[in-house]
Amino acid sequence: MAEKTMKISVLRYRPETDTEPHFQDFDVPFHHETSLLEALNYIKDFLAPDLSFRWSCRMAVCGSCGMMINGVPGLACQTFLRDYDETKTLKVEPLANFPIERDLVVDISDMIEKIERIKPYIIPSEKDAHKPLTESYIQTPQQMELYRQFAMCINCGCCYAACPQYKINPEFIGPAALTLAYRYNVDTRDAGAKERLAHMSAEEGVWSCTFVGACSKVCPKGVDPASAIQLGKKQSAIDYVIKMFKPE
Amino acid sequence: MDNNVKSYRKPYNRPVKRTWWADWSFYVAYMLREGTAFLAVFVALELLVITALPFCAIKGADAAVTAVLSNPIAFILNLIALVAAVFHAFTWYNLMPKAMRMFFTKKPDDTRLIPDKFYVFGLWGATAAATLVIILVLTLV
Amino acid sequence: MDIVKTDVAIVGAGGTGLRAAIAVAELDPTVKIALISKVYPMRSHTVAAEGGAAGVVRDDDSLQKHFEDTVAGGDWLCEQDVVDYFVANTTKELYQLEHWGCPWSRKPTGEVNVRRFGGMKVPRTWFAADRSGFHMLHTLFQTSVKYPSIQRFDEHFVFDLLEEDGQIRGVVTYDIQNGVCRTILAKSVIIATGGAGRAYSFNTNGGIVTGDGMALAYRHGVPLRDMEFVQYHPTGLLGCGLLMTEGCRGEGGILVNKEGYRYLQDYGLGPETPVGHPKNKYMELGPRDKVSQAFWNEQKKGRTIKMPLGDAVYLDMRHLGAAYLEERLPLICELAKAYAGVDPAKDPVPVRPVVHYTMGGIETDGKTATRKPGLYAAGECASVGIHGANRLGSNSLVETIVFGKVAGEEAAKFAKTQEYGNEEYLVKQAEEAVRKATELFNGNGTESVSRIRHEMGDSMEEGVGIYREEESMQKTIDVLTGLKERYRNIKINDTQGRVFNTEFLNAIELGYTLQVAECMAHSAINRKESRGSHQRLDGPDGAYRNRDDKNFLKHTLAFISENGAAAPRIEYSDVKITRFQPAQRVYGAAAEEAEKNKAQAAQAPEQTQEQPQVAAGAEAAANQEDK
Repeated sequence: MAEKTMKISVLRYRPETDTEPHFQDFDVPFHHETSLLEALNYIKDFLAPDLSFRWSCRMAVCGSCGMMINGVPGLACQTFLRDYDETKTLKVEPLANFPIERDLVVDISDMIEKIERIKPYIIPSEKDAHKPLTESYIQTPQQMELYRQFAMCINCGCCYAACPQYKINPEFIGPAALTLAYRYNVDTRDAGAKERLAHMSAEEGVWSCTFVGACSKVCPKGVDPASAIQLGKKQSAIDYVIKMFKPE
Repeated sequence: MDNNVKSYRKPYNRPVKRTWWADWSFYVAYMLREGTAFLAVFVALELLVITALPFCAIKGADAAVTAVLSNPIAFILNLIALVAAVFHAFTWYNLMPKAMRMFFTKKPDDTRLIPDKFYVFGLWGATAAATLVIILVLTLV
Repeated sequence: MDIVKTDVAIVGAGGTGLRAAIAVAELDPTVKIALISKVYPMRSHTVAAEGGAAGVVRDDDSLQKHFEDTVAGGDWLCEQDVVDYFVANTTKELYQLEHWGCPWSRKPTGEVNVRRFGGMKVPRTWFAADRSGFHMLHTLFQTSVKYPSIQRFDEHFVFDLLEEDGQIRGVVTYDIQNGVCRTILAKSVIIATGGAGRAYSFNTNGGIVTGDGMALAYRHGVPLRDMEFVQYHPTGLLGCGLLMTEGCRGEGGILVNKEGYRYLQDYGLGPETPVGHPKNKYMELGPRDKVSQAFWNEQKKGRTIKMPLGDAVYLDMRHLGAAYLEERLPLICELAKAYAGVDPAKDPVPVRPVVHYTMGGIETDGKTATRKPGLYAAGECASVGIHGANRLGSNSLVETIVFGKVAGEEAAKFAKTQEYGNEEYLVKQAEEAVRKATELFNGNGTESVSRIRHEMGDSMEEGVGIYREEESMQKTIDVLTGLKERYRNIKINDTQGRVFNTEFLNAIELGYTLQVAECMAHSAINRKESRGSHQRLDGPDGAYRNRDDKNFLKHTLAFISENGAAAPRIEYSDVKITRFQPAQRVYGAAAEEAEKNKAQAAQAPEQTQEQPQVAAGAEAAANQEDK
């Protein structure tokens, strides 16, 4: 197979020795099926064994390899060199809006904490709390469709890297976590919307979103967080009105 | 390895540049969309002045305003404002379906969501209808 | 060194580890849990499982049928009492996941739907489209968030287990993000680290599937059982090896060779079933070992398709139509388009067998306890005894939750009877483990980690692949011995890096994988018969081509040698057979024939008595658990 070569410029940062990140260029041979992840593994195997990046599944489902590719967040394993101009340098940087730990590895603990904060699990009603393990809930395909798409999030962090609101205001709960909150709120098995709405309606919740839509644009799984957040705003608004007339 | 060190971390936070939005065309489009707000303010002031005029007792105000508005610069500004409003509507209407999630029928196994373009067409249809009504009213008055 | 004290330490936070943690938390909220993983839980390889999880729900199904499918599928190398427990508890665990929010695919009526799977007589595979593992893992992770007693140690890499007086009492970890070591003292430890598919070059596994936990237990004298049984999944995407789920065939996809011929009918899986009407245990729904072996034979006959990235056969799903594919197999469509440039609705997908799963693992009893007090193991890293010589698709996803729960409860109960070990002694041990691991930093080695890894993978494919011979296996063993020697002389370029030094981590992982690979090769060369996924072509007059129940209806046990450097010591242990005597393993029409004969034989009075007992046994196992 005829192999071509592409120049890949990777942002390097080693906390032990560097004061700030710098770019390092590599020439990487590629063929039609070569993904950016394979290119990075080539670099690690043969050119710079000390290059660090997260990866695992190679099939866009584990969410490890999110990074900035020519300035836009995406998964390395789902990005193919064939789709880029080989006469130009491909620029690879760690996900924006997160602190860089080393090379292409960022600290995502803030995102994880927010995902945990919004109670991302079924909170059953009292009636269902002790449902026997011999039966399932009845949930029609249509009821499942209400949340199905929003349950596809792989927690890769691309949406946080794309979100200008998160960039400017790190308190913002952010796309993935708010999407998950909405996902559970509309699950017919759940009765915990009230607890989640406390977070959604807070200052750092859904109303911090100005509907840029970049999260949905970059989402590698087509989750459409922007949609979930707008729908979340509806829930929050309705909840607000109800509370006006029926204070607790 | 030194066993007493608690962490060797030294995370690097990239500075937020003022021009962060210039790096990606998607952000540029977003800033343009938000930027249309300035022109909307201009038009709003304009409309305020025009509607307030009949109630003003200032002599010659009417003529002065007419003169300003018939100035080619004002005309061009209004034209730009119109384009901006249409652009804003365009971007907004494209986003609008994200706030909607409805099914074609209520059948339990019908998972077909009403597609985005239905809402977009609907919004443009409503815009066209409203425009027609306004023009009609203005010409009749 | 930083010291953390907990009650139960769980190494690995995939399906099994998370389920174990939740089980401990639900059993007793006062029991402290340390959930340790070298990655964030949702990165664990459970995430990549596509097809689904087996659990009996249909009226025409029974526990006995699931039991028989599993034991026969495993070529009778299963612990039958454990399989009984397993099949009796799968459905309950799957309902539990449903209650926790797992979006299992539904029937129009709103009940959970099931699909067909290879080697299973009745459709009993629960699925969440073709992202079953993904949804299971995220459901478990998200559910785990609600238990305050679970303390997670994300991105913590385990260097070693800590042992005192023959009992496991903690682990020593490397906190990858902070670049420091942390000792976690525990009263019991569960290993749930998954498989070791990365010992082979061409595999469906994620980069993290390096057999860490297996090597850890092995180094502490716990044997690895049945390691020769490595599953080749018949349909890996040509080139990258990404998995095209068995669900593709369960939904009606067919396999054809270069002549467009459904070659499986030539290998005891026929007769041909009509296209678009899959039949359980026939043709494309044969078990994985047989379907993979058929590819190998087709290749020998020159009937596979030569492509730039290697030989392949076609997985043809065009007749299913774009809409159905989009509903049932959306991920498959996405993967085929991106990674092979093929739209399954329009073109056949080039596939070939690919290493997928390690049937063997850390030897445990039916309740996940290893022979070391305080040490438990479950999931793919363990050999609890349900997969035998060949795992049936959709039995392993459900294994993670059934035995994850058992491990959690057993480890918690054990922990409650224990005190902490001698802290000073254990910390000294931890420091020694750290010193040994970080020796790599000081070595002035010359060998490349990636080169050793590649040579290991290629050699394993060559010698311990779908079909095996003494000579090629010996060659692989020699290569591995050489690589182990060279491994002692590897070069780490970045000796300064503490934070996220993946070069260093990969080197440690390679050490683990090499050891596991060695167990696989030695276990294989010593099993002089063919059974399940272990198929030999040699022996006097080709004698090893057949199953040999007289000599090898036994588990292989690979023990670490006295000094650790030499080859593993191979021993054997008995297989627990309760009621299902070894018989010829047949599929397709031959299976129906055998069934008919059995039914006729069952009319004899002594046989009829046996049948109800069988069912009662399974019921009893179910009731026991309910208590």
